[in-house]
Amino acid sequence: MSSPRNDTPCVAQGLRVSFGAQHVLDGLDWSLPAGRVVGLLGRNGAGKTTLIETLLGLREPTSGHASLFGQPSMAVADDARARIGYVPQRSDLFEWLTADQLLAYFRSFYPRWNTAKVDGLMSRWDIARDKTIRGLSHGQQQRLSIIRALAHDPELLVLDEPVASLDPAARRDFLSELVDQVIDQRTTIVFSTHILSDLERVALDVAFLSGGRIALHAPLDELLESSVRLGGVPADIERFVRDHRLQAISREAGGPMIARGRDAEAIPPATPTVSVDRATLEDLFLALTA
Amino acid sequence: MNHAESSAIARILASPFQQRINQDSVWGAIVVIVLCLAAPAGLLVWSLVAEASLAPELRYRAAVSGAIAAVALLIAAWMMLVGNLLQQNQPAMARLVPGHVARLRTALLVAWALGVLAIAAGPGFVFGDPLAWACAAAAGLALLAASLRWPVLWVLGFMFVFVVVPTLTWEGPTSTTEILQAQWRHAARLVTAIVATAGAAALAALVSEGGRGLQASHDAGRSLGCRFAGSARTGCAQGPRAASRPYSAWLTRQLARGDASVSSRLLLGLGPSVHWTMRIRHGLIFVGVCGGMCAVVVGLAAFLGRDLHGVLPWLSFSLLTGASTPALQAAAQLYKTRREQALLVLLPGMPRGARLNRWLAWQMSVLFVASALAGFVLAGALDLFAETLDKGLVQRSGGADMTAAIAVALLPQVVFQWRAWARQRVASALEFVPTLAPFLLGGAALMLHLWAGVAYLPMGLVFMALALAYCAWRWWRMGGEPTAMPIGRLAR
Repeated sequence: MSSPRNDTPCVAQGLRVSFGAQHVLDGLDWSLPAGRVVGLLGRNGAGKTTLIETLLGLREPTSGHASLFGQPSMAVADDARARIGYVPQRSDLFEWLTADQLLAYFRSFYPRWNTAKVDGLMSRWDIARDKTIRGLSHGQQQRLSIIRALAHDPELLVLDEPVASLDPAARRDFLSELVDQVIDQRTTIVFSTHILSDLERVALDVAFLSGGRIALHAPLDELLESSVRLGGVPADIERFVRDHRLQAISREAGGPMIARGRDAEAIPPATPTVSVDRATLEDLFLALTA
Repeated sequence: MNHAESSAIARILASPFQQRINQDSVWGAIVVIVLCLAAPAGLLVWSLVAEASLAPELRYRAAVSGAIAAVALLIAAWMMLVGNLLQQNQPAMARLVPGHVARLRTALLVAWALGVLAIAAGPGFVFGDPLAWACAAAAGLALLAASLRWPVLWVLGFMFVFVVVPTLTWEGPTSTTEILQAQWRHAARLVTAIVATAGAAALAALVSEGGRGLQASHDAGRSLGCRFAGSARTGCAQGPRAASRPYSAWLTRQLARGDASVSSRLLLGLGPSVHWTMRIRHGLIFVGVCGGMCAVVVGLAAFLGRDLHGVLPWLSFSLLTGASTPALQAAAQLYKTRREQALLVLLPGMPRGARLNRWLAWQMSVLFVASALAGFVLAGALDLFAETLDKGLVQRSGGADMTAAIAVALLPQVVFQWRAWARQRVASALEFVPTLAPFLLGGAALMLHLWAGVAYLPMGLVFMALALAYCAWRWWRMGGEPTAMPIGRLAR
């Protein structure tokens, strides 16, 4: 049965997931804009995988609601499932099959399948078709997992640390594939990673997961342009932030403060007592996920 | 051994139990212990209220069943401990951690010595001849430990239990057993010394020092070791290793058709170990092994000129249990592919919710019932063969009652296929309940038949009716339960 088409790929409202007394997600609200590449950042154990699994309907929320293309995540109809691609964290899946068997198996379920793209990536990424997946290296398994997820030209692509086992060349190739995917298909991409340089290369948006909530979701360029690292005596920094109506994000004891203005124009120049430098993504990561 | 050394060994020995406590609730272990001790406790209570003339016999039976239960629990603890120690014997740690291999070896030998002492001091003193019990325990525990690293020993052990022992003991004490007993009386200490030395050497050899081939041997032993160490939830849990040829052929055929049903493709996606092609392959191998054993028994009987055919009905008993055992381990097999299931449920066309829950229960039930029925047919054929060799043999051998009792107990085990799979906990002592259940229920049926004269057929019908009622109730309940896959994701 087909349901009315909804172009909002993913929405979470008041999402809470608890394991016993531990609240991994704690009333999380999040909406993914269509056609954006969103980098999901969070410390180890922050709940990125749990969030991804809950958004995809692979894990029941303790409370709250998640939807995919306007349908409840736990009961997504076939037409919406055909629009989703997922690369899980572990890529050593279906190890008993050969690469060809795996692709044929998944192909049998999807209404559309981009054979040219699959063949191109298989040969470009040098994956043996007749070898069992168990016999492939971790990097090749991960590449195969990515090909499988891209093969049906999904409109929402969710990748859980997809580049962990890839060498720099393969990572660059994979990232350019992601960019092509967005340009050609207007695909919405969510990917979690710890490699910030990769994220800076392709992500349009960045979302920080901390304390079971999305602490901040903003366009990456805008965020980097409007964020600063302030150095100096704490009292001077605090006065500077107050005077220029900046938003303090965090401060390490005795260290620099990370602050944010409304936009790039709102960032004031340095003074004799306070230094002003552009904040890096790493500064923001450390500040927002503390 | 200094204090630091002995506390390190104590920590190594405690780690399997810590692992159990961390992964499992204590209740799982308590349920298994209670199930094992139910029969002796019941007999003991009965002896207190029964007529005075019956009491000694009941107390003796309670002692026997208690000893069997205690030895079974000790063996289970031993297997868990060895499985865990073999897991700790990782190639990198063997090479890099100072004294690790030596401590693992010492821990294994200390645990072995304690197990042997427990058996000698328990059943040994209750039934007499503690040295013989110690010798048998030393050999048995060492062999069980070795079989975790070298699985071929399971096959040899199976042949020993079901062919060699019945062949030696059929028709009562034979000259062979008498010779063995005489040898034991003559050189008990020498035999014990040889067994102790060989056992200790075998156990020391189980713990590898590292080097070439260790990784392969570690990987091979790990899956079995993990099973007994109960760490299906850790990195130990591996997916099926390779597709069998019939599975691959069926997969290729189904995918080439283009119109294969979702049900057929979903079953393929759950991996070879729960697919019917693999079950048929497993069944054929099992039939081949049993056929080979039959040939050995019949050939040996002809060669020795002795009547050994009484072994055959016991083989039919093992056929019946062996054919259905893999189907009773569905939870562990499904758990291996739980990460693949996360991808499967996202595929268009895949059922979810009540439809998937009922589909899975139905598929697992069909596989189980087909395996059990195949076991019935094969056991019946073997009994028929034994009867053609010697009329009335099946009844005389005592195997008929065992086979009938297991047959009555087997089909009701279909209830284990109707679980709440999303909440299924695999790394639990309760994981072994489905495998033990036919024997526990079969034992109860045997006692009811022998002591109370209840016929097998009505008993079987009652058990089956109860099982079907349970399945019907589960069918209804599954309508409101979370989607079955990925298996175990809601387990606490």
